Amino acid sequence: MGEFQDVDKYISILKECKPLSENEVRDLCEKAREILSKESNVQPVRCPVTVCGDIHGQFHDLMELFKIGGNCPDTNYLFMGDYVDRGFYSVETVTLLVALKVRYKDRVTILRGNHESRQITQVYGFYDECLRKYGNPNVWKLFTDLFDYLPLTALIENQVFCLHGGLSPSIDTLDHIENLDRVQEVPHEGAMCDLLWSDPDDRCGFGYSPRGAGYTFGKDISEQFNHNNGLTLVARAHQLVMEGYNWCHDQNVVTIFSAPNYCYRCGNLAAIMEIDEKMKHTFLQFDPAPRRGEPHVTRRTPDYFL
Amino acid sequence: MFRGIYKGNLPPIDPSTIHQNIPNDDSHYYKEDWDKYFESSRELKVPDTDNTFKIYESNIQITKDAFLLVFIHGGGYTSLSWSLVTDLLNKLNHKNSGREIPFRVLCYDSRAHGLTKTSNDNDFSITTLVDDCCSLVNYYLKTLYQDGDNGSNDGDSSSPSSSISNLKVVLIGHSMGGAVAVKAACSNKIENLTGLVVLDVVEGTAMSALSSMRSVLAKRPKSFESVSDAIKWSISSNTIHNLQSARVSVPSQIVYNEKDKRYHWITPLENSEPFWNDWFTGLSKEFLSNRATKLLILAGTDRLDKELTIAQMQGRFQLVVLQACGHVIQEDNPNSTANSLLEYLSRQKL
Repeated sequence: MGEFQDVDKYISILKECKPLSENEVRDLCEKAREILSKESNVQPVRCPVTVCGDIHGQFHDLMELFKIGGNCPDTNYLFMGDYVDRGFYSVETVTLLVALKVRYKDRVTILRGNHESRQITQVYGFYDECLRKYGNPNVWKLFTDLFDYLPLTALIENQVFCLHGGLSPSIDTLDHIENLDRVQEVPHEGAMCDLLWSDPDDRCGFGYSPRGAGYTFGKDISEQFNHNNGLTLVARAHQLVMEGYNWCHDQNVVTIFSAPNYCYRCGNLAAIMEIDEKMKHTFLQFDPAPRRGEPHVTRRTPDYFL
Repeated sequence: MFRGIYKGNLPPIDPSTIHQNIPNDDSHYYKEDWDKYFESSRELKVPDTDNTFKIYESNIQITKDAFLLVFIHGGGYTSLSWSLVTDLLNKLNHKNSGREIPFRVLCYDSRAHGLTKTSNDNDFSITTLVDDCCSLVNYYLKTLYQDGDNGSNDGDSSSPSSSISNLKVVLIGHSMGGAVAVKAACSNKIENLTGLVVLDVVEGTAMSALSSMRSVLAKRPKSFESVSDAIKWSISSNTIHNLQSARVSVPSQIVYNEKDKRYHWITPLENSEPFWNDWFTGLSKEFLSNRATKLLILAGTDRLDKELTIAQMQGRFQLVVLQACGHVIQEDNPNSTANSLLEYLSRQKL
């Protein structure tokens, strides 16, 4: 048990929503890198498992998620990226998830989202939060270096394919994904970028995504991909859906979003998807956790607006 | 070149563009002329109206098979607010040899702004501003068709648009101009519209800022002793964070008055107050509902309202957030603005 003494201590600190010290984060990230670097681009996952979407630094809602879905390691979890940015507790959120990964490496899977990137986190809050909480960017550097090792996708019992964004015109089979060199900053275009940025769409085929990165893909693409790869379902996150989950493409694709009342203003439900021993899935929806001392959202009004 | 930016989100900005030293020495606050940045400037009278718009253009040899970038400035500003962006768009585009994007630039001084003269310079209503935009752009496309070699239209006489240039229109508006761009796009009156770009205006945020606008306006000096005084004020008041841009943009906003021998604002912004609500009401919904390819450039993530936060998180438009710049994004950070526009255009079919 001595092996996990430090990590157990980290987890108990983090569950109080308190950040670790810089040295503790360094230690944790080293341990995590060792584990993640051995994982595959299409990481195999066993059922039962509970699949979760975007968290975005909403720490108290993540605690609510564990309350609804069950604690680690009683429940196995698969998180599909976007742990940081936008919410007020990106540091505590991502540190806890990485600590759980280190502690229960076979029971917790954490994938990469488009926000697990050096560039995006400089714009949407994680970088600033690290500066604010540590006084320097070292912790941001440790985490963003670790993000390069996160697996891009996961495959539950060879049936349910999980990833943050969606499909790519340069990928037909899971073997293509296995062949990607993932240990790098999320590139600006290409297969790896698309997996983290694309969205399903009502229109057939592939189209440029209105996001300015990745593609939109139609029902024809999802059906073909599932058929070619012997899959029953693509589970992905990345898009806010008001009910927390949303089926599309004739149940070939499901979107799961696990940040309730996103950005503390959107009024959406969150959801997680439980997959049991028989590969039956059940959705659990939840509301935001009762606010505990979270800063009231005040937005700086610009002084000039004509 | 596109390596420099990423997914519509930008790496840390060159500090020299933000933390500018504010020189005390008045010799720095000299005026610069438009012709350093634009190829041409002329007056364009819209037929069947008494409105003559001052326009500024670039890449005037291009009359077809390209984008027409129509820039609409914010309240109180003029076309010359887009000087540095226009110049940089061309420079950065040429650097990208082999993958250059063909485009022509049109900037116009809005009603009651700059050197434009209209039948009623006190009419700031959104309907009028939108009509101005639509009629000007459509007339401009018509004149390009008449001037240019029109072989490219393939003699498609069945189309009602066959007598106008096939340039694809991208409306790019800042602040008040952003509202005009959105509402002009939604009027469906502009032929060949393909893109819609809005800089730093969001309905929810603008509406909550309006209450303080009157006092902001009241704090502005009413007049200046010299042009360089006005430029200096724009920098020292943090209205513009880029001296190079202020040198060309601020002089176009003021006019010399013989009576008191001082320079006054051309645009009576105070008179526009009754129209402010209408400029911004319904803006988020209209922006989202438009079918054009949409880009929103903001000076800070906290400027999104609920509606746009949801839509952004659903991937319905492209958001670029430029940090450490003020409200006049295109002047404060013209380099990143131009880069974002080029990347945005590179993902669109001509």
